[in-house]
Parts: sequence; C-alpha cells; structure tokens
Amino acid sequence: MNCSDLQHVLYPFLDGEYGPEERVEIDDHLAGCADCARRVNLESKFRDLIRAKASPRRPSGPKASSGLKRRLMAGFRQERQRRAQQRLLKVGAVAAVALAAGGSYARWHASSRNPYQEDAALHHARGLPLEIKDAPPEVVEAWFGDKLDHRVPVPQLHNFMVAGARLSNVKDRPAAYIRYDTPGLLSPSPRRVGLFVFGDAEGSVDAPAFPRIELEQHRGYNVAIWRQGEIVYQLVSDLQEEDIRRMVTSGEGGSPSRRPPSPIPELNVQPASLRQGP
Amino acid sequence: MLDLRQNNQSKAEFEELALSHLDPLYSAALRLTKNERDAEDLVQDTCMRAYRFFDKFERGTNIKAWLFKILTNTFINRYRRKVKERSVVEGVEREAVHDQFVSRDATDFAANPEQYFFDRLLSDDVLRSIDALPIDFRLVVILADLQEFSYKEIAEILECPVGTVMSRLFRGRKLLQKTLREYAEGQGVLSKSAEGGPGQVSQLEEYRRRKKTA
Repeated sequence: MNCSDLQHVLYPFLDGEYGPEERVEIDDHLAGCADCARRVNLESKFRDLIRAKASPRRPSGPKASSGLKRRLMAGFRQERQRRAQQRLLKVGAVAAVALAAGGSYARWHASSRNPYQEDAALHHARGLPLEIKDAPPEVVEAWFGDKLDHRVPVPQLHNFMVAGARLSNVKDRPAAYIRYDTPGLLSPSPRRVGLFVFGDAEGSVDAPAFPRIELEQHRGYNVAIWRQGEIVYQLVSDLQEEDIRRMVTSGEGGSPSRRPPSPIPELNVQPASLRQGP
Repeated sequence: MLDLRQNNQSKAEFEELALSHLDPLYSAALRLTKNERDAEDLVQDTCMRAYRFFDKFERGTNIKAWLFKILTNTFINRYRRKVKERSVVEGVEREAVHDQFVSRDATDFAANPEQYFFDRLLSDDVLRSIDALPIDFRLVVILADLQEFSYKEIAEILECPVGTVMSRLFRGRKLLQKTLREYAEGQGVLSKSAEGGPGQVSQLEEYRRRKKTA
C-alpha cells in the first residue's frame, strides 16, 4: 500500500466497503503516512459534512407533504378499485360470454319460433279443404283477385301441380294458400307443398329479401320464408332443406310459365324421393 | 380461485412500506427534479408503479433499494427528454469542470489550511452544489451520501457495475468539493486562492448564468 494506492481505496474505505483485512492494511499505511492520514481525515469530515447538511434525515430535511400522501392513498385506493373491477370483469367476461351465448340462443330460439312460420305450418298441417280445385295457375290467381288486397302470383313448381287454393291467414294476415301436389303418376305417395302469400307493405314481418330465404322447422315441416317487395311468401313442405333452397332459388329454369313473369322466379323442384342417381 | 384476502394483505403491507420510505424517496426526487412539483409527481409515479409491481418484489429483499430502482428508472424514462436537453449543456460543463478538477489535484484540497471551511457552509449551499452535478454523478452522490446505500445496492439500483459506481462517486465527490470550495470563496467563507482575484465570478455562478442563457 502506497500513497497512490490510497487515493483509489480512500472512498470505499470511508464508506465502509472493506472488510477487516483490507482495513488493517490501510490503517497500517495511514499510521506511517501523515499526508495520507490528513487527507483521509479531511475526506471523512467532508463526507460527514455532506450528510449533516444534506441528509434527508436531518431535522430540516425535506418531508413528503400531506398532500402527496393524500394523493398517494387516493391513487392506491383507485388502483385497488381498478383491480377489483378487473377481477369483476374477468368474472364478468365469463358471464358475458354465457349471456351472449344465451342471448344468441334466445334469439335463435325466438326466431325459430317466428309466429308466422309457426302459424303457416299449423295451417298447412290442418289440410283444410280447398276452395278452388284443379284449376290452372292463372285461374287460381284470378280467383284471388277480388278477395285479397294484393296480387297473388301463383308460381309453377317443377314436378308439382297446383292442386287448388283457399283463403287462409297467417296470424293476423289474410293470406292466399296454394297447394301443390306431386302428380300421382309420378309418386306412389303424393307429396304436398303449401305456399302462403300475403301482403306486408309496412315490412313488419321478419322475412329476408329474395333470393335469401330463411328456413325453419315447425311441426315436422320445413318452412321457408322470404319476401319480394311487399309480398311475403312461405313455402311449407316436407322436402329437404337443400331441395327447398334449390326449388326456391333456381331461377329461370324449369317448365315455362304460361303466366306473366311472377315476382318469384320459376320454381324448379324435384323432391328427393323422385331424384334418380346421385 | 383468487385469494383476495392475501392480495389485500400484500397491498396493505405495501402501503405501509411505501409510506415509511416516502420521505427519503421525496428528498431524492427533489434532488433529481430540482423542484417540488416534479418531485411529488415523480414520487407518485414511482409509488404507483411499485404498487402495481409489488407482486414481483421478492419478500425479504431490500424494499428501499427496490423502490429507489423504480424511482431512478422512472426519472430516467419519464424525464429522459428533459435530461437529454440538460445533458447537452451539462456535457460541456462536465468537461470544463472536470478539466479544472484534474488540474487542481486533490492534494491541494487536503493541503488547504482552512480545511474546515465546510463546517460554515449552509445546507442550501450543499444542496445547490449537489443539484449542479451532472446527472450521472448526482445520482451516485444522492444514493451514496444522502441515502447511504452500499456500492452494491447502488450498482443494482442503477444497473451498472460496482466499478462504475466507484468511479462516478469519486468524480462526483471531487466535483462537489470543487463547487463547494468555490462557493465558500464566493461568500468569503474561505479566502480566495491565488488565481481567484476579488470580484471574480465563482464557477458555480458562472455555470448557472451560462446555463440560464443556454
């Protein structure tokens, strides 16, 4: 240990960073070197002075204001609440998912209970007697002419024949009911398709605009609903969903209509039971 | 499930610990930001961060050092731009002060007959001298001399090697001595040394004036 060495160890020495062995070595040097001893003494005084004058623990040292403490406590409180809310949100998120699922289920459920669809299926199932039978479509359409406030287009359905029609209703709406049957020649067990047509100028009935259709099952029937302008159509059948969609949305194909173009395109239907091959 | 009770307990524990270190935190913040409003903001920022990260704090380890680490990090991050602006000026000053410090060896200081002049300095003089230190030196002086952290703790707080702490502390203290000596001279507490004639503006005052105009 020489004077130059001391320069480097002086502060750690004063700051108590050294263990007994190192201290002894330094003390030995200081005992024999007045210059270094004086320097250490002065540095020690300087160190003490800084602490005495600037230590936060001195009596006049700066103190956190009561305002700061208040703000901190308020901050902690806020943070606690925020955390509690987050925990609630976590719990709530699960609940919200369940609620959303429940909600969408309810919606699906409600829409699956669309009263118009339900009522159409009911009326079709009852098989009430037809008021006009074995008439071509234009005659049926004419027959409705003075009985309802709206025109009743009578589309042709491929492989189906108009069996007849009657006045009916779907819920509170007076409706045309047109029944189609497969010709007995083509099928040993005739299939029936019912088409309800009613006016909904105000658009209050939940029905998608054609070519979209909505399908629901009621009473063992597939009920399709769609709208073309102010007219709502409901097709009730025991056909497969796939066939109904094809039948309703198949466009211009199928047998040529003898009627002026109807609001719905020519329907082309071939019941699953009649289809041959894949 | 969540153990709310334990959570609340640890939060209450934190609040007590944080409040017990509030004065040291505030006084250090004051030396860093140099004004009460910023210091309070810094302490509040620090405590809120600490509160949020308290679950990351290892029980049984040094909470004060942990709080100071957050304080210095918050200061450096939040006031980085301010510090940058300042360090442009300080960088120049640092070199100038350092050159003069080097030219005047520590032995001059030790050999000064009025070696106890410091006793007559006021707290305000010492605090202002500390405040005038460049930020790197100021940080270690605050942590070592005012907060009395060990070198190892300081190294952890500042995330730097102990050797860096030692060299910064050495230079910081020497700068502080230099500034205080000039203060004392300027106030007539200590007679001017040979090169400092009457009426000569002290280095600290000159520093302040230049800093103001900068």
